[in-house]
Parts: sequence; C-alpha cells; structure tokens
Amino acid sequence: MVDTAAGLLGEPLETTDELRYFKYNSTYETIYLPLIRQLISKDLSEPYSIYVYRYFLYQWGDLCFMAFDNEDGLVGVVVSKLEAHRDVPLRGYIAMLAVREEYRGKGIATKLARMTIDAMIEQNADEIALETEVTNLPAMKLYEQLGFLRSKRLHRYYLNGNAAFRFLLLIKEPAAPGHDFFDDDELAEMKHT
Amino acid sequence: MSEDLDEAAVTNAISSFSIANQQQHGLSEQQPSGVQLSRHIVSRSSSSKDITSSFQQAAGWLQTGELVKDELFTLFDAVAALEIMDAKMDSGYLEPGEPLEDYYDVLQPLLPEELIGIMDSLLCLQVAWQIGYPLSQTVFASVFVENILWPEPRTLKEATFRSRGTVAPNLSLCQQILRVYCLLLIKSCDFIYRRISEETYYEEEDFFTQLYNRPLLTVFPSEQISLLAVKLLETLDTDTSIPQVQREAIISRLKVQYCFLDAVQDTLESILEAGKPLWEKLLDQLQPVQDSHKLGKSIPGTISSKLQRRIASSVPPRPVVELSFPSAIEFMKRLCKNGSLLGEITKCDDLSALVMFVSFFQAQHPQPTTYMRCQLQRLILHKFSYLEEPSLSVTGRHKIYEEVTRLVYPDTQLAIAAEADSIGPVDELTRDKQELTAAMHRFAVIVHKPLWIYVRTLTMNRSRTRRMLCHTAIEWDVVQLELEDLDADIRQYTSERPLQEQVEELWEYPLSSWAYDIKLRQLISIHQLSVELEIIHKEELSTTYWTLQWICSVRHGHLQRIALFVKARANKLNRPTRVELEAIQTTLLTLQYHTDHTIAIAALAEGLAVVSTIPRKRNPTKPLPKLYHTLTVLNLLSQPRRAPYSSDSLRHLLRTRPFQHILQPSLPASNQEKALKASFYEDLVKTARQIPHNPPRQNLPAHLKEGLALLDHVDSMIKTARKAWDQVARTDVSIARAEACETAWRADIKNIQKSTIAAGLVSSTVRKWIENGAGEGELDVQVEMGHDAGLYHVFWIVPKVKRKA
Ligand SMILES: CC(C)(COP(=O)(O)OP(=O)(O)OC[C@H]1O[C@@H](n2cnc3c(N)ncnc32)[C@H](O)[C@@H]1OP(=O)(O)O)[C@@H](O)C(=O)NCCC(=O)NCCS
Repeated sequence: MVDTAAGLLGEPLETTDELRYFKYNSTYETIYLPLIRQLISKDLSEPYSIYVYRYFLYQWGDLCFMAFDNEDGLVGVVVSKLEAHRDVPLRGYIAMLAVREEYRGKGIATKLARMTIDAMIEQNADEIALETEVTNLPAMKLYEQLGFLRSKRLHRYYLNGNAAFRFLLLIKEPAAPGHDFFDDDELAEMKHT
Repeated sequence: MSEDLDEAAVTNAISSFSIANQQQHGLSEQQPSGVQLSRHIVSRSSSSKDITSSFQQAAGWLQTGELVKDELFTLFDAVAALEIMDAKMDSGYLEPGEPLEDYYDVLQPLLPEELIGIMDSLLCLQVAWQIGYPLSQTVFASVFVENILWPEPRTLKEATFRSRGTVAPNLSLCQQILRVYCLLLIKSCDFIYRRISEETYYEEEDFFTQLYNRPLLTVFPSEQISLLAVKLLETLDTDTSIPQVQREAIISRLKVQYCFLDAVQDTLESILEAGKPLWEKLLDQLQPVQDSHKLGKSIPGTISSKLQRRIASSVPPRPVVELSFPSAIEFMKRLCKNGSLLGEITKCDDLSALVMFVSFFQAQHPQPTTYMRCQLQRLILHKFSYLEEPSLSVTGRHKIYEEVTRLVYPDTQLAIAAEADSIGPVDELTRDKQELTAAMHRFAVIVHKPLWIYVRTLTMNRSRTRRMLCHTAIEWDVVQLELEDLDADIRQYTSERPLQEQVEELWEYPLSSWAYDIKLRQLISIHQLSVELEIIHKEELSTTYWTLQWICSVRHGHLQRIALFVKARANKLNRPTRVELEAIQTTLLTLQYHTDHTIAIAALAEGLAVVSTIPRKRNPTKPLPKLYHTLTVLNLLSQPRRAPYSSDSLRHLLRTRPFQHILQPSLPASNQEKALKASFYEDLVKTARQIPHNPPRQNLPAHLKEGLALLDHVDSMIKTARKAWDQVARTDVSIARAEACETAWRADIKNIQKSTIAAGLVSSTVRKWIENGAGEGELDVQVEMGHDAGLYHVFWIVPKVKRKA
C-alpha cells in the first residue's frame, strides 16, 4: 500500500524536492482516511469518530489536500467545508490542519492552507472561518500571515478549559448598497496571490 | 441576541452529546449485563421481521465511506457518533488486563499524613470544579466522595464510608475527620451548584450543570453537617493521639471547609452585612493550610477517572483535572477577596455607580469566577430590583429619571413631568403637563429593558461581555432613534427654543443625548476589551487606537454639546433654588469628569496609535527595518502586510462589521479613514518643513525631520493625556460615582498614568537615538510589544524599544 498511496492520486498538484501535494480523492477512502486520522489524532486531546472525518470528506473532499513525502508517507493534511452560515451565503471553514512533527516549520501547513483557501475562493466563498486555541502560537501565526483576523474570543471553548480565538478572513465585500468596490491597487493585490 | 452556535465546536459537541446521552439513554445502568434479550419480540399488535440480511444487502450497494444522511444531519450529529473499540470513545473498551474499575478500600487504616494529603487533593478537585470543569472529572473522581454519595444516603448517618454496601461500625479518628471534611465539601458544592443553576443568567461555557444523578447532600441541612464539624474540632482540641503539628494542619483544613460552607450558604442579608467577615475568616484559615501542605502524603488510588464509568456510562472516562495545590490555594484566596468586595455594592445608590462598581469588579485579573458573578447578579437584582420588573414601578422610573438628570439636567418642565410620573403630581396638571408626564413615562419604559441588558452584559465572562456589547450598542442605537422622536415630540409641550450656533439651530434632544452617551461608552468599552482579550493583533493596534481616539472625539463633542445646553439653561434661571443650583452643579461636574476621562483616553490612544507604528516589521526574514523608514512610512500609508488573501479595505470591513448597523456614530469607511490619516500626515510634513529653523535638527535629512515631527506629536498627545488623567484622578469620588469601588478606581487610574509615562519614555528614547547621530540611518531597534511584554494596564499596550547591540 505504501508505495502506491500517492500514486493512486495521479499527477501531484505541486512537487518540491521532498514533497508532493495532492487533492483528496474519496474513491480511495480506505487508503487515505486511516492515514489522515492517524496524523490528526496525534494532536487532539479529544478524539473524532470516523463519522466526523467522513462528514467532511464525503461532502467536501475537494477542499481536502494532502502532502506526501518521497516514501509515500502522509506528512500534512487540511480538511475543510463550505456552506451557508446564517446570512453569509458561503462560509468556508477550516476544520483540521496538521503537519507531522518532523516536517513542521517548513511552510507545509501554509501551503496546504492556501490550497484549501484557493479552492474555496474558486467556489465563490464569501468568507472563511476557523478556531484555534489561544495558546497555539504556530497556528495563529500561520493564519495571521495569510490575512486572517481574530474576530472573537470564546471563553472555555475546548473541553480542556482553554479559550479559543475565532479567526475570520473576508473574501468578498458583502454586496451592500453604498459600499465602494475595491480600489484598483487592492484588486491588484488580490490578483497577485 | 443569541451568540453564534459555534459551528465546529467539535469538541464541545462531544460533551453536549455525553450529557444528552446520559439523560436520555443511561444505557448500561438500565440494562444489567448478563441479561439475554430474546431475538424476536412478538406482541399481539405487531409482528417482527428479521431485516438483517436485507439490510446487509442494501448496505452492500454503498461504497465504504459513503455518507447516507438527510438534510438535517449536522456536524453535531457526526460528532455525537461514537466508535466501538476505540479507547477514547467506547466506554467499555479496556486494554488487555485492564480492570473495569479501580478498587480502593476506603476503610483501610488512615495515617494523619495520609489524611492531610487526601484533604489537599480534595481541595484541588473542589477548586477545579469551580473553575468550570464537570463534577465527573473533579469532585466525583474521589473514591471517598463517591463512597459517601452512592448508594444515595437516606440519613446523615448513612452519609459515611461503607465497605461493600454496609456502613462501617467504627471509624478511626482520622476516618471520621475525612468523612466530615467530605461532607462539608460536598455541601458547599451543593450551595454553589444551586446558586449558579438558580441564577437567571450564566453561560453554558461557564459551568457544567450535570449532576449525574448524585444529589449533593441537598436534603441534609447544612447546620447538621457544620455541627458534626464543631464536635470534631472540639475533640481534636484535646486529643493527643495525633501529633501536634499534624493535628494543627488537620484542624486548619477542617476549618477551611467549615468556613467555606459558612460563606457560601449565605442569605442575601448575610452577604450584605456579614459576608465580608465570613470571607475574611476563610482567608485567615488558608495560610496555615498552605504552609502545612508539605506534611501531607499522597496515596495513589484515591482519585480514579474510572469512577466516571459509574456515573456516565455512555462515554469513556476522561482524565481527572489536575490542578496544582498552589493554584488551588491561589484560587481560594482570590475567591475570598472577591467575596469580601461584593458587599460594597450597598454603597451604590444609582445606576451610574452600579455600572462603575460592576466594571471594576469584573476587571479583576483573573476574572471573578462564575459563582462570584452569579452572586453579583443576585445582589444587583436585590438592590436594583426595578431593572428586572415586568412593568416598571414608580421607584424604577424615579431612578431612571435621576440618571438622566445627572448627565443632562433637563428642562424644569421635564423634571416636573418626571416627578409627576414617579412621585405624583404636585398640583393639578394642565393638558400639556399631562402629555409631558406621559412622555416621560414612555421614555422610562423604552429604556428600562435595554438598561437591564446593559448591566447584565457587564456581569458575564469577559469574552462574552465584549461580544454582547456589540449587540447592546446596536440596541441603544435603536433606543436613541426612538428617543429622538420622543424628544422632538415633547417640544410642543415645553417652551424649548433652539440655541443659535452661528447659522445653525441647535435643539437639545435631552433624552436621546443621554442614550447616545451610553452607546458611545459601550463602543469605547468594546475597543478596550478587544485589546485586553488580545483580539487585536499587534499590527492592528495602531488602527484600533486610532479608532478608539476617533470614538472618544465624537463623545467629547457630544458631551460639549450637552454642556452647552445645561449652561445656557443655568444662565436663564432667575432665582434658582439651592436644590436647583446643587443639581446643576452636579451635572456640570459630571460632564466635566466624563470630558476629562474622554480626553484622557483619546490622547493616550492617539499617542499610542502613532507610537505603535514604530515596530512595524515588513519581512520577517530580513532584519528589522531601519527606524527612520518605519517612522516615515508610519501607519499612514496603506500597511504593506504579508497577507496574500486580505487587503486594507477587507480588514477594515471585518473590523467594523459589528458596527455597520449603527447609524450614529458611523465609523469612517476604509477610504475615509485613509484620507483622515493622509491629511494628518500632510500636516505633519508641513510641520517638519518648518523645523530647519530649529538648530539641532537643521542638518537632519528630511525623513528624520518628519520622524521627529511625529515624535513631537506623540509628546504633545502624551502631555495632554497626563494632564487629563491627573484631572480624572482629582475628581471627587462621588462625582465619578466610584464610592463603592474607590480603591480599584484609584489603582486603575494609577496604572494608566504609568502606561502614559511609559509611552512618553518610548518617544523620548527614540528621539534621543535620532538626535544623537542616527543621521546615517544605521539604527536597528528591537521592539517588544504585547501582553507578554508586561503591561501596567491591559487596555494600554505600550511597546518597549531597545537598540540592538
Ligand atoms: C500548526 C501547524 C499545522 C503548522 O505547521 P507547519 O507546517 O509547521 O507551518 P508552517 O511551516 O507553514 O509555518 C507557518 C508559520 O508559523 C510559524 N511557526 C511554525 N512553528 C512555530 C512554532 N513552534 N512557534 C512559533 N511559530 C511557529 C512559522 O514560523 C511560520 O511563519 P514564518 O513564515 O514567519 O516562518 C503544525 O504546528 C501542527 O500540525 N500543529 C498541530 C495541529 C494544530 O495545531 N493544527 C492547527 C489547528 S487549526
């Protein structure tokens, strides 16, 4: 299985010296889901049942991206969803993001996050949200560098008693009358990405 | 007004599931193991059919992982699912050789040092529960507590240690002490639990209400339990079987629980009158407990996470919360401090004083616990019962009119009408007066509920207070609009003439003016809380302080407007009575206080808005930018942030989103804000161009001159701020409405004054660097900024600058 795991996914979206990035494909759930679970559950104090993974992967598998090393080991994954939320027509939500410990600090999570964000933008997302523990400095730094802002603090949000920050990234200006559209330089700034 | 149903509170949902699950199913308790269920259930009215094979066949058409769900299936449902044979989800799952339960014999001989150890670990559990963890992972994890509470004791006598179901005939002295210690502890939990769950408002994130079918000795009067303790303490006084040092340690521990129970079983009277001594007595007892902790010896097995299998059988045991003993003591000491402060609320005569008191009570760090906040709410509703009245009483109306009078000192006719409405008419009312009286009545009714919601909002946990204030501000915007109509309406019954300001006619709008000021204060609080809660990133601080400054300047203008009318009216009074004079004087002093306070915040915010642009970092991989660069670029041009998916205008939009429905004040849009800052910058450059006449700066390159002009501006802001804070500090405590919280009020001002001085120091330090030959531009600065860097006041983040070696 090991030497075919990444192979089943066809051409990588992106390749670096030691890594190949792929979009998740639910046809091969039996192969990838255990790898994804194993990677993510390492950093969780509370377990997610297999249904939680399936809930995301079955409905929004196209927002899930994976990074494999040259030995076909899964080193990073991002899992997201995109749906209506209150009066926001399409709100993206990054549910899980993890990189194997030995591979951290090399920009892998940033790349995965950008892939899922790009996919959401392509699908017309209005905004993207997520939560992190207030103590998770690497994650906060990562999202802030991408342009997310902390929008709320949530007291005792996690079972371990820790508080969370809700992060938000506006993708579009809500279509409200009287609002100016982007300045030209801002449009350029966005296209640049 | 409800808060987000936080969509992927995945972990939270697990917990809510477990609660629901236990209540609805309680599976393993109803269905003893070993009972064989018959394969087919046959009754006369129904017939059954084994669908196993057709189900299997149907399932065979599905791919593995294919999700079959209806529209209503949510993430919460997905999270609620449990997985068999996963140790973290399957409550029955055991590692090979692992027992289902730990066995600990509560009747085994107990040494004094072991008793001390157990008492201390129980205290840690008791505190962890109060912090907000469920009973199952705290107090109920103690084998002693479980042994006493289950099976449920029918008499107090039965509330003791039992071995395999039978009450132990004779307990050793140490065991007796442990039993009473547990009883006191459980009973105090009972009071706290009931207090919190009976209180109208606590938040789900603050406290777990699940009792797992274990009543906390609710039916037994606390006097009986206390009496047991008193008797034991008497015995211990003379007993010599336990060595002196240990005995004293044990006595102080018993006394802590005894005093704690005393303090939490309060009636309203006892908090108001005797609350303080009770908490102070407890505080005294804590020191010896802390000092003698080392005498204790811990025994393994007395705390077991597996006890959760008995109480919450559908989810696997979660780890017991481990709180260190020093933190537990710290917590208890804080509780005592908060508890003794609470009674001060009696000194609050009006809503302004109450808001002040609540704000300072809540600003303590760490924030007072849920229990204390519940007590606070309870006292508020006791003292200010009109806030929650279904229909506003005469007293309530009178109190609300007092608030308005204090700030805007309205027209005499309005005052008379208010009085007529609340106290009763002095003489027969003319038609106009009747109309006015009805209008005042309507006014009080309009603001009644919003006032209560505002006060209640201040009693929540900090994070929630901030979020709720975003809603209350919108509500007060609507209130203000309604009152503007009312204000315009009542002009026909009063003799109000507009003030002539140049070409403009100014009408007073007294009632809506008062409401507007409340809203502006809420907007200021929201921004200050955002800083305190670290919702504002370092790089946004400058903008946030800029906005804060902007709101304050709006409020400043508003207060001046109010003062204009009050003064005009005062001048027109002929032969004012002493009472009238005093009232006007109070209003003018109140307005002065608020004005000083607003200027103080605005000036410090503006100073910091400029100062906090100093540490801007452009590219983390490169060394920090040259100081002059940052200073010239400042924050005034669009911030070049490495944020590929965002833009200034989108960030601005997100930050101002909570306020977009507020009509007044309407926060500047992104481009307006840019224009404001640009004109500020232009002025600055102009000033800088004039500098060449100033000898020491003559030879500096232009960008450094601009930098210095900028620092000049910072300095003048800091100077203004210092003066204004001094002014605030000199305000009579009764004008500030801080009688009930004077110590905190003074300490708060002191800390802000320190922040102000620190901000001034940053500016003068940087100035020196520039003036002492930074002309070459080779000046690398190291900047620390944020809560970790140490602050005098959580609202005010002053950067620390150091020159790189
Ligand atoms: C958060 C996590 C996914 C980051 O993975 P990563 O591949 O190391 O991230 P990147 O390399 O893309 O780093 C992004 C930024 O975070 C910073 N960062 C990484 N590790 C850090 C650390 N330990 N402390 C502070 N910052 C750190 C990096 O410096 C980088 O910023 P830079 O571009 O200025 O250097 C990874 O730490 C992880 O798997 N953690 C456990 C799971 C988790 O917390 N997920 C997030 C929940 S939403």
